[in-house]
Amino acid sequence: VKILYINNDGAGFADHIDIGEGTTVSQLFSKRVEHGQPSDYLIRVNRQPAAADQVLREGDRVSFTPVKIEGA
Amino acid sequence: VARDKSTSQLVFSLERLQNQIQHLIRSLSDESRMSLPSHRFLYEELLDTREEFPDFQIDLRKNTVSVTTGEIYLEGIELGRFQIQLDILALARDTHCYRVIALTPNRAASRDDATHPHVLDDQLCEGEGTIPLQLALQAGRLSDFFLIVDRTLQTYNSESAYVSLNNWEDHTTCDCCGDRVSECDRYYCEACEHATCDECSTSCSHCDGSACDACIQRCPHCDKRSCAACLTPCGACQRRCCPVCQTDSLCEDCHAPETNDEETPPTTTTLPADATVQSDRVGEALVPA
Repeated sequence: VKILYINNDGAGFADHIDIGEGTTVSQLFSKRVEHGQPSDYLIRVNRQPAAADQVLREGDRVSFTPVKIEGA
Repeated sequence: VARDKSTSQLVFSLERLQNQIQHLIRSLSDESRMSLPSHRFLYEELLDTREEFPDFQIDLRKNTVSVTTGEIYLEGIELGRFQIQLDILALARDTHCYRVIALTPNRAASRDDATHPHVLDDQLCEGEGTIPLQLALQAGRLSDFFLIVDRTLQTYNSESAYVSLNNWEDHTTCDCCGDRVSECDRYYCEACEHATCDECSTSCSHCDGSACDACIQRCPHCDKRSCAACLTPCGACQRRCCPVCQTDSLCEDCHAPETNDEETPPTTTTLPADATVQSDRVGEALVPA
């Protein structure tokens, strides 16, 4: 399954990635944000807030944006 | 030695050239991979931004897209709402393309141009958001751009702020009770120069000078509050008392009771027996008893 994955944390990331069939939002988060807590991020699927157990589908757009981003 | 020096200079120059070529290749590669977002994509981004930020404006005359944040409170300090204004033409020119404008500015006491710990002259110091912001703008992800700026404004990094929030309202601590006290409510003890709050500052009854609780004293005679400068030692007993309770540098206890002419017995002068008695006036003469 190919999705657009956007991570607005740190070095940033925005690209299409392949994930396994039946992968949920929670599983993707655990795999991609190893040391983060879901509560510290705004998690959107297709621009809408998503449940942790939502299964991702072909062409979905998933974004993780930190709730807190430190300016300098 | 000269040959070694030339060789090392040549190696240094070649390495620098190599770095420049690699940087150029990376830049060209990034540009070639980058594709402009479609109209439909940008339209969806604008709809998404409007959903995320209800106070959303497009100004076709100024070529700007703006959103307004909610009220921002950091560490208990109200900084108000901010307008994030994206300049589309500047974005196309690849220059700094957005401003962060305080709508009801609560400026730092020490800097007029700081409306937020990370905003100076309407420019956000992006910190952790720098690269995600660049990527979002390059890809046309406008909703992510506005969201990242908003999250940065909602976050305080005490270690790298233009003005620390501890000093935002120029608060300091009362040296007597430890309470926070703002600049306009602050007093300075004229004796020890410590800053105090209103409750811990007292005026001297005699000179109206300010003194902190620790430095203010009472005159032992009248019990009025007096600063150290107004309590001077008695010339006799050396006890310090206020100017009102001193006469001729003596405190009330040491100063002799005032003389009363009416109660003073008349003075007499004793003249020697052989003194010549001369009259002051006709018919009047001072005669010894």
